Amino acid sequence: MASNRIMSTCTTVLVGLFLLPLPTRAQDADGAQTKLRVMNAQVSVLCPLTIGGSFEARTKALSGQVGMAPDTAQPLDGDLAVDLQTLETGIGLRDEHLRKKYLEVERGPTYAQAHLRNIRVEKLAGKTPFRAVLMLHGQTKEVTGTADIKPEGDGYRLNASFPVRVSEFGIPEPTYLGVGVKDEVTVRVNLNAAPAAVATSGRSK
Amino acid sequence: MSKIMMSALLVLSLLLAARPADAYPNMIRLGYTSCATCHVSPQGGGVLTRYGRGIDYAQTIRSGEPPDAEVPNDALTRFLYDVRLQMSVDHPQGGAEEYSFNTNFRTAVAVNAQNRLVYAFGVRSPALTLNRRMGAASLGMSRLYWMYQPKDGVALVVGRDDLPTGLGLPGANAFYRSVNNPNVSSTPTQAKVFWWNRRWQVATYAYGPDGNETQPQFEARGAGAMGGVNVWKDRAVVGLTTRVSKADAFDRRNAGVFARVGFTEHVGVLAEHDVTERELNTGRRLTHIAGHAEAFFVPWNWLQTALAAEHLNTTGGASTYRLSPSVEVRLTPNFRLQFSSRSVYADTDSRTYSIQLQVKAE
Repeated sequence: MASNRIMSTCTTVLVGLFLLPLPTRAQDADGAQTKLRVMNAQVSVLCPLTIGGSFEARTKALSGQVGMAPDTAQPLDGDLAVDLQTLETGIGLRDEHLRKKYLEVERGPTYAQAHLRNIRVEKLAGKTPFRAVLMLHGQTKEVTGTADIKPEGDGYRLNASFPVRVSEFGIPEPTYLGVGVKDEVTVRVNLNAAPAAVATSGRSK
Repeated sequence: MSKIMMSALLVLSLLLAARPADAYPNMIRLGYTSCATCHVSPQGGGVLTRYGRGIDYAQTIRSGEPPDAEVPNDALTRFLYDVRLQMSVDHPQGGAEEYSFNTNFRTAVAVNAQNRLVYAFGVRSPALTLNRRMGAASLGMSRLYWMYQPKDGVALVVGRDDLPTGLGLPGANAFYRSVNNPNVSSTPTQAKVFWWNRRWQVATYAYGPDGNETQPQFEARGAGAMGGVNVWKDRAVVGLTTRVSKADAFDRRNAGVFARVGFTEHVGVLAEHDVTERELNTGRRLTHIAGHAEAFFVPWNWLQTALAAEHLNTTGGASTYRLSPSVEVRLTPNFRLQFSSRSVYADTDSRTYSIQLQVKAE
């Protein structure tokens, strides 16, 4: 009888271990939430032109960290920031228009950076829908999209994309000499994140 | 060390180097899938739209806003034009230097938002050499057509113009035409319908003689189509071309494939290959295989380099190959320098070095 209980307990523990969700990779041994810091990233904004074709505005200046909580009902604690002053489109004059005329980065920090906060995902591995709060051009709106989260080393690799309507953020309608950018642009984020302690030690080398 | 290497490579490329000034299908590297974004004519080449001129201004060493940047975006520009003076020095290997001057005037007059009249002509000087060998200056009314654009993405063109091709590179077309489509006019009278959107670009056309054929027996009538599809993130367009034509002297059928790919905003490839079958009135049947493949590298928008390889093979006949490295330096919106060499490998090999200064007013 006692041996049956022991067997049952062992089975439960083993099954539990195998079914343990992947986010525990990013948790400390004591179960506390672990912060993941962005190690390298690329953000690209696909801007379709009204007359066909498109251009991409790209930057690698994404920084910040998020806490990986096993409870996906709660938003991930943290903040991802993009330096909009580093966006490049492949044409210098267009970069200048984008930054100064439309994103108005010189108006202050809330214009010079975009922030993604309160990120909610349905699961912490694989493809999942997500929603987050985007702070851009002094405006705050919720955005929704899809993310693909893959464990990699001690951390994660994330590819996410979400649409943004520029008019919802009070950005002037981007047009130049009769050709415009469509209202809906697509933001793509590719990043690698590692536990903050690892990231810190990595940088101090 | 790396700076010295970079400088050496730059100087070497300048010495080697250029490309035709009319068409820039390499703009696929920046996501421009269709020529219609920057050119009045949906098939590319020719006079630029206001936006195209803005992009042109932005891609020079001294980039800046075009003169009409402050004009409201929705304003109709009634008169688009440019005048280009090209001074060329060609140095054939083992031959005397040849100097030539070409002046081209191109304009598009908007009757209203849907209708434009497009006109272009050029004056070409004879090739001048130090021993005074020369010909006569030539005046050509090369293009005149009416374009009706009922809405974005649809255009009807009627008049004299180049026939649509996959890449629209005039230099490549001239290289093939002398063998696989000789004696006909390069700008026949034609009616074309263009349809394009973010994914597709299609042109269908029918054409007839325009009086520039060398003899009446080469007055050809024909029809054709060109279709391309945007297959990868606005950075790759692949497509097919086909054309049939008939004249007293020949029947001609042609089919081809083309691709424009921008791997990054700096690097990409252009390619067009086709097969032509011609049946002459003498009963002789000829098959030509022609192709243009080009790798381009644009380290900065004002410095455009390319290495083009072309071939023209006639089944059971002659083969010709041409290798053309080129560099274009866009100094200002009005001044460009082009350096190129053209090495032709045929029965008799030849190599020509060319320097061209283009002065543009608009």
